[in-house]
Amino acid sequence: MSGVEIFQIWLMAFVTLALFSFMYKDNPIYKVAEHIFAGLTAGYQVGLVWDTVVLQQLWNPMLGGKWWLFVPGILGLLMFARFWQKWSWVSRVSLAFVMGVTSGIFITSQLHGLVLPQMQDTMVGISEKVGESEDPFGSNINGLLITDGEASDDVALAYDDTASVAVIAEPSVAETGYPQVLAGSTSSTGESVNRNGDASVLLQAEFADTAVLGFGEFYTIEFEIRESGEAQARSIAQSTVWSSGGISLTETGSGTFLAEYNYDPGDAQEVGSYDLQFTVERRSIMFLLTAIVIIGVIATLIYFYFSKPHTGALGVTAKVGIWFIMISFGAHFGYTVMGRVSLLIGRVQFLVEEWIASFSHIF
Amino acid sequence: MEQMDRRWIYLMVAIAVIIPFIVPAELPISITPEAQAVFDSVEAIPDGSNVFVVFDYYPSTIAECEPMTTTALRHFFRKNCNVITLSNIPLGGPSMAETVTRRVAEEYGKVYGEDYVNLGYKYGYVAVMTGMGSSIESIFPTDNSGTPLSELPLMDSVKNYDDIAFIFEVADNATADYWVSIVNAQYGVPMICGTTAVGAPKYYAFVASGQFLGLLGGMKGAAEYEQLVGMPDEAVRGMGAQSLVHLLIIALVALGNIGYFIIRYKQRRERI
Amino acid sequence: MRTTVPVAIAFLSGLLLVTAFFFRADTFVGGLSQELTVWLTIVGGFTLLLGVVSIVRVNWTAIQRRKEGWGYKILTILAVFAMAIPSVLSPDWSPLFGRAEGSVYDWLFQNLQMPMMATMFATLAFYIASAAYRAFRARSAEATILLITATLVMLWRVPMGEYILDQLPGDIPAFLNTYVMGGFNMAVQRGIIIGAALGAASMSLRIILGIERTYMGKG
Repeated sequence: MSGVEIFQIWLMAFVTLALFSFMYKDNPIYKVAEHIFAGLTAGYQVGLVWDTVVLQQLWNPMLGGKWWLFVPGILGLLMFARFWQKWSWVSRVSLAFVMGVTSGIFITSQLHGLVLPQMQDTMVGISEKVGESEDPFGSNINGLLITDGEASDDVALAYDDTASVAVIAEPSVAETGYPQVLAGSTSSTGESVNRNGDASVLLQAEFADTAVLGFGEFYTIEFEIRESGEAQARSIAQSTVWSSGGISLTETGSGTFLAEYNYDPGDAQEVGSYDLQFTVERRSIMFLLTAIVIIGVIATLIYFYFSKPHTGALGVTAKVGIWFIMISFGAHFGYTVMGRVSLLIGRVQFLVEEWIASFSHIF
Repeated sequence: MEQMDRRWIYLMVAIAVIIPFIVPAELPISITPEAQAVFDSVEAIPDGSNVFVVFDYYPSTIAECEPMTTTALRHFFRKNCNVITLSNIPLGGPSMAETVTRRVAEEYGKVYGEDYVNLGYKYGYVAVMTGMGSSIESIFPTDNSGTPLSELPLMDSVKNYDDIAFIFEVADNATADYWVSIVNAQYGVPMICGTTAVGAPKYYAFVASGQFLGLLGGMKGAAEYEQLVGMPDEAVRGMGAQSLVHLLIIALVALGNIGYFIIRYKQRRERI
Repeated sequence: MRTTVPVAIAFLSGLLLVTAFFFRADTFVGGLSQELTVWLTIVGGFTLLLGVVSIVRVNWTAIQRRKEGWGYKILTILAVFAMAIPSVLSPDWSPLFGRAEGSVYDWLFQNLQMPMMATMFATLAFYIASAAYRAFRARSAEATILLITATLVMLWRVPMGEYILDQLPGDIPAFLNTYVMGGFNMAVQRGIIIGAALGAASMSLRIILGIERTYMGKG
């Protein structure tokens, strides 16, 4: 550590301690430091504006050919007319320009960038997706089983970890990557899959999820089918936040789950090729949170709405608003304590880790 | 107890802050989803992208904000991103951007003008943010030290927000609101915000609406980010002192309330 | 004249910027609004200098009239000039001039102004601790809610506090983050953001239309 560096550290430590000395009581050393600080702060702005505004934005571009910049230059100088009472009104022209341009930007940006997105987010979303299978089968899904109750002709479709779909019982894989079931045809096991007529088939999908379901979290499950010649898959069963959709879900082991759906294709089901898809998503119940947010936003807005007296329904809502506001301000206070303490930590960190550490270089 | 000289409280706070620096202890730092989202969104940026790191804070909050900018710069330089710094703060902003960025750039052997540029400061953040949407050069004809942007190779490929992949805003004031309402909303540049603890509660609204991809709140947020990037530094070291002072303040609040209820109880009994 | 011209300027410049929102940057309107934003950075910059001149004038007057503490005010003015004069001189003349690293300006900022400003705000930690002890009382139901929330958040945001919360049943840190910060607090902040933004937009409209003129002052 050089002598200059030590001097700088000691100077910084001196002004830091000088300002902290006010904590004991007001004293001349504190006052000296305080007034120097005020002067340096004002002086800093002179250098900054001179360089970044006067030279970089005005003078140099004007010399470079942008002669019309003399207009904002003059508008800027007119600001100083405020110091002469007789001419102080002239500074209004510059001020009006600043206010006009700023207001023009504000109108659109405040509405488009703050009001609309914040309102929009308040109005959408009962549940929030927190995890999902990454492909039709999902990297964490063990397999899909189609059965009519007789083990002999079950078709088991499995997903292997190498990210390719491996079909255990069926030989063909559709272009989409969906396992393909050739209903009514003979599979490699020599058995057929009953996908015809009135007979229902049980769709079973086993998936694994190592993450433990958190508070208010649940799975949504969807079985889809794409029939031969159709471009889009259609949903045959889907569980939502409101209902299971006929899908039963049981935990078969630690982190493994079995989703089952009894699919009755009815007469509509034709013999042919079918792509089957299974999707699982981990979601969090957000309707409680959504309710809190909607009530809170409305109650807060009404609390700060002073154009009508807070009586009747307005008064009740405003009262609810106060409770919300108290929780928020409590959180704010907690955070403010954290912030103020952090600033003190910063100074103490300097004093201990740099200033006191410099003692070893001196003594 | 009510009459206790406030300087005893000051002394207790001072001791609570100093002790953990003399007797350091390694404390586990839990990661909030908001801080994780900051890390993940920076990780998701393609390596070599052009990013903004914005120094919108005053020297007064350097203890909270500088660990964030320092870690962000390390994170970006590690990903070989091109970093463009600027500040909307007329008091120290451009100077801090210059010092911090040069220091971190040296750690990674980055070259000024090629790997990073400090645009510095211009008055009027609303105008600056709006103007850069069309042309950065019209607002910042030169960098902070007066070099024309045309002489800086990095700026050849950076003309306006279309060329910026990400904004890492560190602010201790409302400028973050304008980065959201002007730049993010109108130009669609993804952004996150590191802010002081005082500002953090407000910005939960922007995280919920997806306008901020993540949020770092105060020194704890900075410590979480340092931990995630794998470079624990000042903020992580400060967590011991932060813990002790918080516990002290909670104890003081409890003590104050006990005293208050005892006095109230006595007053009631006297009245009866 | 004294009012009409400023109102007309505010109206025209504001209207142009509002209109430009709907135009691309490479159109005439887009280009013109871009030029006006550059002008704003120039005109507005002078307002910062206005503040500095004002500080010097106030302190100089106090010194001339020998007001209480006038000796300290000399230091303020000296500090203004010590910072300002070397910074406006060309760095071509000396590396001590200008704003770059190694200049007087940068040295004063790094070694005096920055630590002083950081310390000024650091003292707030003492005041907030003292205030919490003296004034943070559960006097009413509302104050109790505020107190409980503040205490829980203070615990949650530090490792030692989080350890204490973890000993209690239920996932309190997750509850605090999701429901207190992301629910109750977020709803209130959102309400304030929406209210303030609507207020700012309507005030801007009033300024552009010339209804709001208080920024001009009296006279």
